[in-house]
Amino acid sequence: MALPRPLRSGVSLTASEAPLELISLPPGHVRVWGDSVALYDSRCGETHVLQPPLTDIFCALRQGPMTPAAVFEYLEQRYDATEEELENAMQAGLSQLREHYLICDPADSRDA
Amino acid sequence: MTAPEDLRAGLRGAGVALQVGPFVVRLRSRLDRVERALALFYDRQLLPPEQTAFADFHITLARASGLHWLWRPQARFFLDGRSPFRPLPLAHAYPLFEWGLNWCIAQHAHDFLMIHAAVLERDGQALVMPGEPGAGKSTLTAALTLSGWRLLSDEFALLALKSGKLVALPRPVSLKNAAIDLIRERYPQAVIGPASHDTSKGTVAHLRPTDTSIERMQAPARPAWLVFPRFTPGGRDQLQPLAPAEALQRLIGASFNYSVVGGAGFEAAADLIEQSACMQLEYADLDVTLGLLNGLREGGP
Amino acid sequence: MNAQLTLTRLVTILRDPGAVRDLSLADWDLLVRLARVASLEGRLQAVIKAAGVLSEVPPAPRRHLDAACTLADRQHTMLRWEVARIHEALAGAGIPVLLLKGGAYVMAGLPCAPGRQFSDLDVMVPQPQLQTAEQHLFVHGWVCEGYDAYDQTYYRRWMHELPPLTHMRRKSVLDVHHTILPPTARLRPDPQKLWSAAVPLDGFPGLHVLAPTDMVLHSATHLFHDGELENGLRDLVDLDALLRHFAERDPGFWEQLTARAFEMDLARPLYYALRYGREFLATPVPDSVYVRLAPARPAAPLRAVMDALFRRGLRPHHWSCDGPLSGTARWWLYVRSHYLRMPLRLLLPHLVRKAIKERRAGKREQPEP
Repeated sequence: MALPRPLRSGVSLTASEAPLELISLPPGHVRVWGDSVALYDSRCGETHVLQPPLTDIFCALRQGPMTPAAVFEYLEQRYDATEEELENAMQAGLSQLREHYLICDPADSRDA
Repeated sequence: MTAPEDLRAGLRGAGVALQVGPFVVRLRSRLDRVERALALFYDRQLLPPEQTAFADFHITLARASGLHWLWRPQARFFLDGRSPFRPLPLAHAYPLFEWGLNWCIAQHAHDFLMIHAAVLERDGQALVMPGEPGAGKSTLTAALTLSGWRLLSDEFALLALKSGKLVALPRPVSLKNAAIDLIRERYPQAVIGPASHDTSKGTVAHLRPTDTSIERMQAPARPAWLVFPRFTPGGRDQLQPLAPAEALQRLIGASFNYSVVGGAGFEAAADLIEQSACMQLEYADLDVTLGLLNGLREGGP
Repeated sequence: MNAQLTLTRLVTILRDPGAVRDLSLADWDLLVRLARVASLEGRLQAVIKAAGVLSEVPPAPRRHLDAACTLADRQHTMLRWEVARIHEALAGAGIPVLLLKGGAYVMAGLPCAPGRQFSDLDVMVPQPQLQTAEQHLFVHGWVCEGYDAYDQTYYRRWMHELPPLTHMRRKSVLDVHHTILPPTARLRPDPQKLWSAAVPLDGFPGLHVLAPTDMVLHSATHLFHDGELENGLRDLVDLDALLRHFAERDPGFWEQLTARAFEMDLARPLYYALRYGREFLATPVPDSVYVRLAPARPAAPLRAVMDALFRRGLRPHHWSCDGPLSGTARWWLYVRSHYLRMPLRLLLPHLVRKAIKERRAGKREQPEP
């Protein structure tokens, strides 16, 4: 039986140079504590605790919409790692943020 | 103060009204052991009937109906005519009242973030101790309240969503098993009620809250220390700092209604963490640990 | 305290919230309890708030009304999230979805939603796509859990439906139907007709809610045909709000409603809804509507029996409202709701099994506080 694939898993990240944007969160729902971030997503009632390098990706995107290339540059300045390692970490981080619906999807913007 | 015969008449009639922290409970019961427990623990909290037109919870404790009362008498808890739990042996009628009242509050008091935690206060500053059953929380709470701390709650912290302060819900401290004799021996002034044996928590007996705890029940306290105790027999007593994010996750895990109060609950919990020194406590020896907790200073261990 | 008076007060405040000014604390003491048992606490708060008289409610009862509203608001937010996730799971696969009951009230912003508590989400998909829908939902985390083999068979074979699905992570419950009444039921409204009249939901291509007339008919049918009346008064309050809302917006609504009721074979439940809506909540039903519904009216002896049952069954299940026959009436309504849902040869074994299971599990009780 051919099971349908989830809509999100196949999204190709590198192909897209469109800017990434975080969902809007009230200031009180985001707490930056040292190198971790605790945040509350009132749409689904979930509380997330982010640890590095996810924290850095999140903090980068909090400044405003950013292309994946710009996020990569931001990470490059902070981490002493090979390009490949950084790229992998970034992709893993971005897909985690997407999985938690923390990155705006044009189709989801009306939920906010 | 109410005369014993008034208490009895009230319990068997329209019910007696109790001020339990921010709540008014109207309680009816024909059970002698409930009446005795009330006289022992709640005598300072009885409200004059004319002042209590409104009660938050209307509770009745009654003998369970059915034939088995002959050989196995049971007590049933009713909230406003409905019985949400199975009956317990009649001998556990008073602990059933306390557990049932916890349930009522947890179901309805969504103006608070409710946390399974002990709260004690000294100089206006609150120590919040969430803990799994068996963490030794009640023993610590009893010892602290008998050595100068004010009791705000034994196992039910009320964090007001509007003010961010801890509101007192002083109830008898429930001591389990070995802790009962331990507290009795160390603190001769302790007033401890009769033990209920073979409850789901083992043998349980309750400690009457100190007079200060009851007199100052309407005074909230601001959070200063958030301590997660863990009983480690044979280990070393120590307080260690805990990362705020970790403390938040544990605090949420100990909450009864986090999922109901939404963003207000997150903000209250996060504010509490930002205002408190967050620590975990490994606890083996009561004296050493009391020394550690009594030595807490504002902003850190 | 006069119990009938408190029920009257509850109903009066729902219609005319300004009446809260006349209440004493002692009045509130019983009113809050009655509203709680009737699942109308949050609704009461929303209605009082909308009328701008919340400040007239003393702090002690107000805490309880506010708490019920906090709970309802949270449920509505979660419900919107679930609807968006269902849309994500099914819209891409081209499976149309009809939101039923609470999901529709909240998403369409209908006046019966504020303060109303909901537990599960009910949706309908076309019968031929039921299997595919289940597969897509499964991939997105909805699984069937906590149902034994008997329950599974009961749903799939007799109800031709999926057992309730639970989301693995969020633990939310989703009921997927393909018709508004079980296929074994005495009444058989044609789902195709519901689909053709369905109203698309703004912003969610592929998602729909029932047309106004069908929404009222569904609600009436659920309450008076296959419901157990656990929350009878609350459901009647929903219906009252829907009827007032739709009738105000469309002068032709009443006529469309009665015509549709006969077309869908649901005139009898509509008759009951309007009869008891008018009786309990003064729902403004024009007399001409009764005339048109006359053919659906039960014969006089049956009407007397149904009056006796519903007048008791619709009152909140609270000691203050109970008369000597309330328990009996509730039992008959329970049996009736099951009888209307399936033929006797299925019903008897099912009820027996259900009774044994409930007894074993002590279903309505928690083992420990």
